[in-house]
Amino acid sequence: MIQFKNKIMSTEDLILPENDKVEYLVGNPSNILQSRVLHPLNDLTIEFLTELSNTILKSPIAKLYPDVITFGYWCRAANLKKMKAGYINLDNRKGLGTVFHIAPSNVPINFAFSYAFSLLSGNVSIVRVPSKQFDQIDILSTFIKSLFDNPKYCLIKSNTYFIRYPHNDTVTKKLSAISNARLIWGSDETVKTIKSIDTPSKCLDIPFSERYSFAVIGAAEVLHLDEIKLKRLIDGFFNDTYLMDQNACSSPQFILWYATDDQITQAAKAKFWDAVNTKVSNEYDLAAKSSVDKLTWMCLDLVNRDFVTEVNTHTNNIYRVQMNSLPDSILGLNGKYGYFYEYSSSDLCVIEKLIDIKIQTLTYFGVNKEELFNIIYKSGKVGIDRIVPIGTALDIGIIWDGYDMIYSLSKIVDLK
Amino acid sequence: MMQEKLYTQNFKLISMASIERLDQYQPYSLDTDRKNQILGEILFDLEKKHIEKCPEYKLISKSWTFSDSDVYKIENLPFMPVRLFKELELLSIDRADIRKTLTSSGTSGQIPSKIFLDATTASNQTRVLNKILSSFIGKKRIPMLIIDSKSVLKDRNSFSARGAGILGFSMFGYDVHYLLDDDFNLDFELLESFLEKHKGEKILLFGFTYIVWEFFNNALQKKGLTINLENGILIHGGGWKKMIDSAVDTHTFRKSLFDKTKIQQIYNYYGLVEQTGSIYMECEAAYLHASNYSDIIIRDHRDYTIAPIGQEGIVQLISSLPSSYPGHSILTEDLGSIAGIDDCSCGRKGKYFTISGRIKNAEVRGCSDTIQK
Repeated sequence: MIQFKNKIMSTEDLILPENDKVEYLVGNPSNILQSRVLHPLNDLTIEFLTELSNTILKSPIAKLYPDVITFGYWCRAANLKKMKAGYINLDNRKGLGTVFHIAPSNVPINFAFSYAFSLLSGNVSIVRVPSKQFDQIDILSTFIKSLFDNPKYCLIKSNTYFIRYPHNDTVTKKLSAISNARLIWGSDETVKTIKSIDTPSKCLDIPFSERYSFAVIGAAEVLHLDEIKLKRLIDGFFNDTYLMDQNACSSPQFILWYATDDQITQAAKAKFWDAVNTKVSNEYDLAAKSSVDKLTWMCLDLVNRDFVTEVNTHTNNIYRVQMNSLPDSILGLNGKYGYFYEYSSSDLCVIEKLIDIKIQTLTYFGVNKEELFNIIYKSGKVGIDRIVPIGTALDIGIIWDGYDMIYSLSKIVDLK
Repeated sequence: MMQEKLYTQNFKLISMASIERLDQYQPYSLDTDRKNQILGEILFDLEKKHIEKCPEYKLISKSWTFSDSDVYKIENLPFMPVRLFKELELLSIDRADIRKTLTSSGTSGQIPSKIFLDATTASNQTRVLNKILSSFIGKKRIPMLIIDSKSVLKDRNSFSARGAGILGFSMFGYDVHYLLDDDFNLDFELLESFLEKHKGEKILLFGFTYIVWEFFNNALQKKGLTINLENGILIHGGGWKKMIDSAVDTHTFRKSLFDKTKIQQIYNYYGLVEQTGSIYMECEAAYLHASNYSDIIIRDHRDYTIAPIGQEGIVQLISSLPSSYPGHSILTEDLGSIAGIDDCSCGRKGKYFTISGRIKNAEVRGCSDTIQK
């Protein structure tokens, strides 16, 4: 086990406020001087996450929270081993140092992934969890603390700090002042605010700010689907969108239909959306406010956007805005709770026109993925960090937003 | 189906039905069949006008997907989500003909609605409000107390809903006085001398529900004061969202004020600044009523189909008044349910209903911020 003395710290005032507003869920960053950066994907960390995974997957309480289970499944031994096998030479790498995580306020489980990325890269983690009291956070904090009772994890323990506080610049400033890297999850506004806070000059900020995502569907393939395969596609699409109110950065808001013949597109759309509607009717809890929001957006789209020809509705479950041309940018085509913009093309190369730095994920079905990759990779444009099958839009991984977290959160000691 | 055909025929016979056709009737006298026929014709003329004159409305109306059929029925009118009046400037008249612009009170920080009135719509609003209210308080002007501060009216060029309400209702009274000072303290001296001066007379009181509760009822309570308003008629409305939050229902409201003032006639009213004039008055049995000039439809939020009597849903409000802007059929963000039609114990015809609250902000999942369009 290689350890690197954590020299990033000075003995500066690290005393954080002790009041009822600031909760130390796991560890107290005031003790951070004992921490050390580690080797990426070291055995102890993998053992620790594996044990955490086992704890989660065995827990009856965790079973109540699908997102906790997803995390537990993600950090199981097999997955971590596979991940490690993908990195050929990490021997001269070590963690960046103290990584301050500002977790997004409305995705309960995200803090855990952010923490795991940073831990796996060999870092000391201070995670600011959402100020909202999510059960998921308490459950995971309890699990992790109980694992820390085992002395073999003392290195992990002294590298792990979960803290919860409401909006408070003083605390954020103090933690930023000792950060070697910050993972900032949140809106553009949040990122801007956090970035304006002073950090040491070598501190690396990795912002996970607002992104836009879209999907491309090959119409002919949809028409060929039998019932079982159609169900698989629809379940996947539902997970990508409705599961998170179509409000995750990776949820598609715009759908590009690809077919050589418009009749094929029309038939495929009918088949696809009918099946989505059935699924949504049975499984999505549509709030009254969402219905009214969608109706309002529909009216505004009909009035304000001259490329909108009509809006198709399937009760209030699905609103589909039909477009006869593409605007200069698709980033403004925003929908939530099942509100989609649709455009058809017989040429996949229109995707090149859509690429923008703000675009994160392209989910696909029924088109050649290499062709998509080639269009995007060779476009010379910045944007679109993920090309993944429909159904996996929300699968967060060690490569996220175009960053390999292991490489991004570790440094090389160059020996010649 | 019989009825539907009838309307279609009538529609062809009468080319231009105007709102004046309703003026020959008492405001709560038409039963459903008659009302659907007459109001229906007026509304479809309005619909035609707005499609012709308001390009934005035309775009929405022609793509409307929530009607069962093209049959000429009030239920088949498109319903504009109320927020549109904040997001768009909707007019069915030339800008030169704008007489008055109403703005909604709106929560602070939000964009207010903008409602453009021409001379016709403004005068129809006044006339219809007059007609509805005089059926409750009589045709004669009576001494009036406004339970609010005069400061609400400061900017006369841009009327807030509260200011417009006060001005609109003030014409039913004389010797009009404001009971609250600039800091919203109840002027006890003014109140006592006014009551002394108009002893034995009918007195009209008007105020916004929350203001009446907080600064009149609670002020009297704090002082431990009782006064004699047994000849008083209190009309109050608006601001009920705060009331629902403080869990004061209409019965508690009435009883609390009765205990302090002996006032027996207390009427809530409900309506939108987008449909000023055709208000929904609460009756003696504590139900809100649609008059001949207006209607209400409750819609199921899942598919916007019409909810059966007794079932809670999103409130759609219909008014025959808006001709200068396409506000004749509006989907509110309120929840309510129809209690019955034509058979309220108070004797008034038409639909009667209750409002139960406001649609809640959904707990939105996901990492994006709120959509700004």
